[in-house]
Amino acid sequence: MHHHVATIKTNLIIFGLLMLLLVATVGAAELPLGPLNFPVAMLIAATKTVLIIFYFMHLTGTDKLTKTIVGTMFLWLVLMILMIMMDYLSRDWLQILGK
Amino acid sequence: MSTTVLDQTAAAGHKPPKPHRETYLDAWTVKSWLLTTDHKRIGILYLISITVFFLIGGVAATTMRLELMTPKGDLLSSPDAYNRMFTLHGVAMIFFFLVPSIPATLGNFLLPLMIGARDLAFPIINLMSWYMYMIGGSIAIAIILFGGIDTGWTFYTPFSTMFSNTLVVPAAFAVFFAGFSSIFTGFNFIVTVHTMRAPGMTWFRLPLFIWAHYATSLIMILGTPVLAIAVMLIAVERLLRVGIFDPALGGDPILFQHLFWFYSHPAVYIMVLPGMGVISEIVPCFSRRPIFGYRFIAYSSIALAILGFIVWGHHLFVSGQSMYAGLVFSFLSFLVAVPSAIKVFNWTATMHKGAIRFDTPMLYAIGFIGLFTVGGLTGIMLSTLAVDVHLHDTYFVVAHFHYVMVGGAVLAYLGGLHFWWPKITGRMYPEMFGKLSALAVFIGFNFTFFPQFILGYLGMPRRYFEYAPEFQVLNVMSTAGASVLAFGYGLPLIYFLWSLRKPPSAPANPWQATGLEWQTESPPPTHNFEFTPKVEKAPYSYSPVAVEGFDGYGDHGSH
Ligand SMILES: [Cu+2]
Repeated sequence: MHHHVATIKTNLIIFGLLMLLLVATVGAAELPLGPLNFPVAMLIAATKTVLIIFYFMHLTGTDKLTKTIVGTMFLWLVLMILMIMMDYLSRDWLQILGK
Repeated sequence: MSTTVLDQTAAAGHKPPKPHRETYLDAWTVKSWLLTTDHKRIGILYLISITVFFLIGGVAATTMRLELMTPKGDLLSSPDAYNRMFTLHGVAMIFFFLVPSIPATLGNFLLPLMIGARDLAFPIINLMSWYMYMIGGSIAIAIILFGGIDTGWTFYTPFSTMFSNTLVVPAAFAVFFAGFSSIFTGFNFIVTVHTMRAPGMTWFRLPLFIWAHYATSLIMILGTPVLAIAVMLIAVERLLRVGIFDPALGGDPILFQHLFWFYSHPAVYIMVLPGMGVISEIVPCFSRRPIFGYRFIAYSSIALAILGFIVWGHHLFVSGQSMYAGLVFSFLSFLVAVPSAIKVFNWTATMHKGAIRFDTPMLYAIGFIGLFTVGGLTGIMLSTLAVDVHLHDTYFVVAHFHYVMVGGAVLAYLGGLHFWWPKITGRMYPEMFGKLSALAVFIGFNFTFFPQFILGYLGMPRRYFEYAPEFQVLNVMSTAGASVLAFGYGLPLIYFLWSLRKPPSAPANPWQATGLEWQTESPPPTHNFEFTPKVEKAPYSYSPVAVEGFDGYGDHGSH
């Protein structure tokens, strides 16, 4: 199997990016974005995760199978959140008398 | 196929002289067991450990059944003691017995043998899995000794985070560790199946036991992390008062049910899919027929693993979940019946016109098919929205999942243990007692749990310490059945241990079965095969002719 060896330089670049994103997280939390605060925070967090998985956990240099499994895990997380939201978003649709 | 194989098969029929040969059981020092990386030995470590938890869970069940003989609470000191008892039963049986039962014992032992490998892909991680289990198990035993926990095995919030003053946080850690032991097992199995199959062992030549374990492993790695996080969040909320599930702190108690059941419904398939794999091995062997619809059974295992993940909301129909989400979850739950039925029909079709032999493993397998069908169909009843409003939290639910978990998973486990006992230990068990145990388990099981369907339908709630006097007759029936069931469980425990007193004498292939695991000696050598297995045919190439020389326990038995 081909082994991808990350250079110190790549690792440092990724580390720098992660630090920038950390600043972005704190900054975004201070901005008055209203309901957008949450999605923005999630987007930044997801970007950090992807960087860590691909570089620090060496997903870039691995075979298709490993990538598929990691992809499936990510998909499962999305599936879980979407189906939980199915409950939360439709809870108030049914008008209850006297409420 | 190599000539070695043919020689062994030919020698299986009569009593061969047994010069000493190297087997995986040779070393008997403590170190040779506790530091072993041999998948077969780790399987045995697991076998012993889960038996201990089965006994603990069994004692709790017995206590509950004795308490429920009378409507008044008279055996246990308080309702709280009863709460701790059913929680102990649930936690021990689910997390420390059923989840690891078949995968960690039979799966560990057989998966490399069945695909013609020397071991699992990561032997040290396999050993670490057992240590994770033991850490979780030790915490669980400490909890029992220091006062127990009363939340039920489901740890529902807000009770578990706000009100219970029992050992909830240690229990969360126990479950966390047990969870990681199954993640380790699952990912080891997946890598092994992908990378270590013998030459010629293509995906569609894999035994269905392997397909079932592959599907189970997928659930283990995709679902278990969510459970681990959910129980950790309980610990976080209890210890640090961070608002996650508690409405007073801005949380939502139903969120816990979502997270918990996102794992725990698929966990039903962690428990029953490996059992289905066992049945798919036993039924063709004792019917002397190739399995009917191989690909359908293989794909239905994967289908169950996937569908199992999108039905969890059927546990929340009356919990305050949106009714529209309930509708979707109800519909999706019905879909699970399709792959389950495919399996049941295909096993039945395999038996059709077969030369059926009613040896112990087959008796257990037939019991599985019938009881799992009852458990599955009552599951359909429960996933019907309106019916569930009536039956939710009654004994009907208790009966339903025991038909799946005990009638399904435990019967398959016992059937598999009998089927592969000669391979694992090199000893035969006394067939007559085997049949007696299968019969006692089947009869005792139905006597225990069928009355509970009626009790639940009549409205008796589960988890109650005392009950209305008109329910007593059915409860006494249930307790009487449980004692027959306990007898059926006790028998194998005794005769399996008893069979170990003599040196190994079982033939390599006592059932004239076709799998690779039967082509090596019983018990297998440390490196599994003395030759490199090569696979040239489809699995389950049984024909009635092969019955010749099928002496089963024959002259190697213990009479
Ligand atoms: Cu369920």
